[in-house]
Amino acid sequence: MEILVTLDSLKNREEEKVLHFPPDTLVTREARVYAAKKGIEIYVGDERLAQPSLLNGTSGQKAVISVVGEDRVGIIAGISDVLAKNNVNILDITQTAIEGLFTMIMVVDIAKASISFEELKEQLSLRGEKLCVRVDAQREEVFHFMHRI
Amino acid sequence: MNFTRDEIIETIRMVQAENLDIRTITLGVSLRDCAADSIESAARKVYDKLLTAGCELVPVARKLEAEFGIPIINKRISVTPIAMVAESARENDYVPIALAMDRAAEELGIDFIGGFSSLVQKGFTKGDTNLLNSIPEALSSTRKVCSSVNAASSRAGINMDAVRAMGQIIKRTAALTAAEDGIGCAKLVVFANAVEDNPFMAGAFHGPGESETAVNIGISGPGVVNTVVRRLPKNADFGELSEAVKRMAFKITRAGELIGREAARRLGASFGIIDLSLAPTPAVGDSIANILEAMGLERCGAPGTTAALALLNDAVKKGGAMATSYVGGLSGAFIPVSEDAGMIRAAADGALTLEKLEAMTCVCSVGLDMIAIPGDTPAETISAIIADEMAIGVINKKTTAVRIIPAPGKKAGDFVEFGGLLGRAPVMPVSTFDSSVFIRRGGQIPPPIQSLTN
Repeated sequence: MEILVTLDSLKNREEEKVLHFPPDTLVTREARVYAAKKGIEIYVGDERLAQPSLLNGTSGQKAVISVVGEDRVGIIAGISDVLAKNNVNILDITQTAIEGLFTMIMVVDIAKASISFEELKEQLSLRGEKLCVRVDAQREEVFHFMHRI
Repeated sequence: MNFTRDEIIETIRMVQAENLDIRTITLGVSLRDCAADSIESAARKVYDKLLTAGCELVPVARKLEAEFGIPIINKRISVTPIAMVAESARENDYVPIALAMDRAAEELGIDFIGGFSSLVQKGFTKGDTNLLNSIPEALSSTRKVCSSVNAASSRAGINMDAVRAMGQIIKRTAALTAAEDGIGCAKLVVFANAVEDNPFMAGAFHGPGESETAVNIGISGPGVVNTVVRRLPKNADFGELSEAVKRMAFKITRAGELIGREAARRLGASFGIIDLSLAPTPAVGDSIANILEAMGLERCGAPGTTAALALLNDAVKKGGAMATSYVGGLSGAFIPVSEDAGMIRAAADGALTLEKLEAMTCVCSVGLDMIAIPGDTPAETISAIIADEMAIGVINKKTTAVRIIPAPGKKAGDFVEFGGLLGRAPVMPVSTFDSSVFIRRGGQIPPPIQSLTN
């Protein structure tokens, strides 16, 4: 009879998609996170365990694109072109000059993007090279985590 | 947008201009199920387990790096102290396990693997003795394996037999890696009060009380802290100084918390701890010494350095502790001489001495770290340096350590080059007065009265 179920107890039973445990079995939070990731349903007695909420809340919906370099014609058009082609929606855009350098920041919605985040990043930085600017893309959570409690 | 443009720019600047990074993602892996009655069979089990448990580490770290835009400098694995894993084998030579760990590290593409270790604060088992005897050859025949020995604790006192042996082991390791200035010793640490969830090398091992696999994160960012200290007016008082460091430490640690949790989830491992240590790199500007100098000292090592380091260390902890739910590891500023451009300069200028470094270890975590000393320093003198450092840790109930390199053929004033993150170090002079009678006594220094806390 199992009293305690940990992440590693689940790893050993990975092929089963539905697991039943007797009432009052203790399933650790980490085990529930793992089950959610692997799509395993866990029942304790008759009750299905809810998926634990992630600390980072909604993940992977928004990204911040930053462009730094010398100001010239066509930077915004060039970057927006890459985004439009990949079905990435621009939510906000600001631009400014810091220490003489053109700096543009875009917040974009990547939920419906037609390519993976890595590929998007790659394409953006290639386009940036053509435009002689440095382009970076980061998931929004970084800023949220670092600057907000 | 629920954060401002300035906040975005600040983060980007921290990464691009001030070397903000995650110093290490260290995956702790338990090898307790790898015991076997022959060393070859144990080594095979270790290799297989590492390849299964660690196969996702580097790909996941690369992905996180790209998604969050924060570099992850090192990907490492720490394992159960090998003295425990190898103990059931009939052979006395544990080098085959070190070779297996090295092969696995190479295969997985990780930077270092730690845990060729032994906990001997109160005495030796058969496994401990065999492991200690195997250290010089293990470190000289592998590239990525790191070794540590816990020779003292506040509860047990100091195992002076282990301390004496370590003097010899360090000399022997240096001799076997003489062609590379004794680099083997850069992968060997002697601890007092070693911690079980340390993500930093060379002292990382996966403690026996840890889970099957755990992700531990080491944060970084001396460059970022340096910038905020530099920006303060020269007459800002210590309250303001501490406040500025705290705020920055909070932000750095949050980045670590975010990446750590996500890494643990993707790797299917427990989230262990965030280690709040400011770890320097040889890159210019990414230096602890420069922060102390920015506070108003001409050179690191000048009178006032210990106070400055105490303030820095405390402020980093206060800011960091707010930013993560699980603080652990060593969590204190590192002062590795060869890995910190400012320390190197201070030591080369004669501002920073071994004795001053020893005093500094009373207020920060790690101890005498990455210090090159003349190659002809006697083993007993090295043991005595270790004993002093152990005493500081034991009495003050903190972790201290010694990672010292008696560089073969070098004398005070010469330079040794290790390359990469290990950097370069000026060879520092060591007292020539003799401690051998003291060291040869052997036995155990009893635990201090402070250990009677129950």
